[in-house]
Parts: sequence; structure tokens; C-alpha cells
Amino acid sequence: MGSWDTLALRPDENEALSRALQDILLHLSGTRNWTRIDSSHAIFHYSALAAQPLSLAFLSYSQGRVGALRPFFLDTPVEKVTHYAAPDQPRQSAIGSW
Amino acid sequence: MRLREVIPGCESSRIFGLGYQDMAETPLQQTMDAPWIFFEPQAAGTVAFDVNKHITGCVHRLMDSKVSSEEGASPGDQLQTERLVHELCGLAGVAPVSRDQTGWTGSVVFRETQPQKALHAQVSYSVNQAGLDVSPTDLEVRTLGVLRHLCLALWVKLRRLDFAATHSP
Repeated sequence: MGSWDTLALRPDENEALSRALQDILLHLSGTRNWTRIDSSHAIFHYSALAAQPLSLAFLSYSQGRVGALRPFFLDTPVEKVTHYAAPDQPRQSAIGSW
Repeated sequence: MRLREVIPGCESSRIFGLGYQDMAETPLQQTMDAPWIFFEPQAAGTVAFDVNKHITGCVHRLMDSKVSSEEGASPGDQLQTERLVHELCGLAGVAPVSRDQTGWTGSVVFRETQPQKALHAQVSYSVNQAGLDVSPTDLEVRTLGVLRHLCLALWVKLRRLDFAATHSP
């Protein structure tokens, strides 16, 4: 298993990605109560966390209806989704429920 | 009990190509797989685009240029488009593309909600229940996989809506 230290980003990359993630997470969760996204580890962690609801949001949009999700690959509708990125990592996070 | 006793007129030991064992195993397998319905991905063979046909600065130019043929890229009918979007998005990026879950982008734990008989899905990038397999490299690869599929799903939908930037300057 690799180390999070290998994910070092340049300060300008850190700044740009951090700002973009803050915006995305604000829109996805409706809250600004995010811990500071100021390290490479945090950026990767929150990027992973943001990718899941972005994908889910587009599926829901594409389905074009309110109510439970009914993708063809599930035999039961889904009405609630909780997102975890990497549950064993130092900061166990759930972005909340859809 | 013999099959012909259950189904009048049936003299064969097979129905629709299924033997006795198949008929017993199919519902058993479905029960074990539930709620997943496993499928063979179709997107790889049907989603392709030519980055050279897109205007400079078009987001499609950021996509993988290895898939460079417009052949077979027809968005198809509405149902086919929706199926491709479902397939590419999965459930928050996780799609049941094989019974071997080690190649998935993550895992989902399902809990039944009452009283609607719907599900609560808990999604993570771990591919085992213990959650101990997510190295930084795994997380990066799986995140990029989810985002790449999301971009393809957007492209499939935009093509359907005829919004794709397919004209060179």
C-alpha cells in the first residue's frame, strides 16, 4: 500500500483544486462546514468523495423524475445513498445522504 | 416429479435450452445476486468519438484520444441512451459489471428501509467490507474511473440532445 506523502501537489495546484472542491461540495451538500481542504491528502480524499454524488446526480437528472432511483442493474429501488470515500483513512467522512 | 408431469406435453429434459440444474440454479443465483443484476458493459463498444472533429478548447478533447472512431457512435434510441447512462454512472460510480467485485470502482452496502421496501445504499471506494484495501493509488484510479465514466455519460446524453460540439472551426 502506498503512502499519502507521494501525492504532494504544488501550492498553486493545491489552491486551485481546493477552491474548486469547496464550490462543488457546497453545491452538493448545501453546507460550508467542511474542514479546511489544504493538504494533498485532503484534496484527493474530497475529490474522491465529490465524484460519487456527481455521478449519482447525473443519473438522477437523466432519469428525469423525483422519487427512488431505479437503474436497470438493481431489482429494488434506492431511495437513500450515503457516500464514503475511503473509510479506513484518517478522516472517515460521509458527505451526507441523497 | 418429472418435467412432463408439471408441464403437459413436455417430453424433453430441457426447456428453452435450460436443463433441470439450470432451472434450479437460475432463481438461486438471482436470490444470491440481489439486489444487483449483473450485466456485460456495452459502452466500451458503442461509445466512441473523434477528438479531431471537435473545436479547440472543447471539453471532449480532454477525453482519451485512443477511442478515436466515430463509427458506431450513434446515440441510438432513447432507451439505449438511458441504458448507457445508467451503465456508465452506476450507483454513485459503482456498477455490477462482473461477479468478481475486485475490479469494481467501489462497493455498496445495502440496507432495507421501511416501510417502502426501498434500499439505503452506502457507497465507498473500498471493494471489500473491511475497507482496508484503499491505497492512495487505488483511490486515485477508482476516482478517475468514476469521473471518466461520468464524462462519457455526459457525452452520450449531449449527443442525444444534439449539443455536442462536432464542428471544426
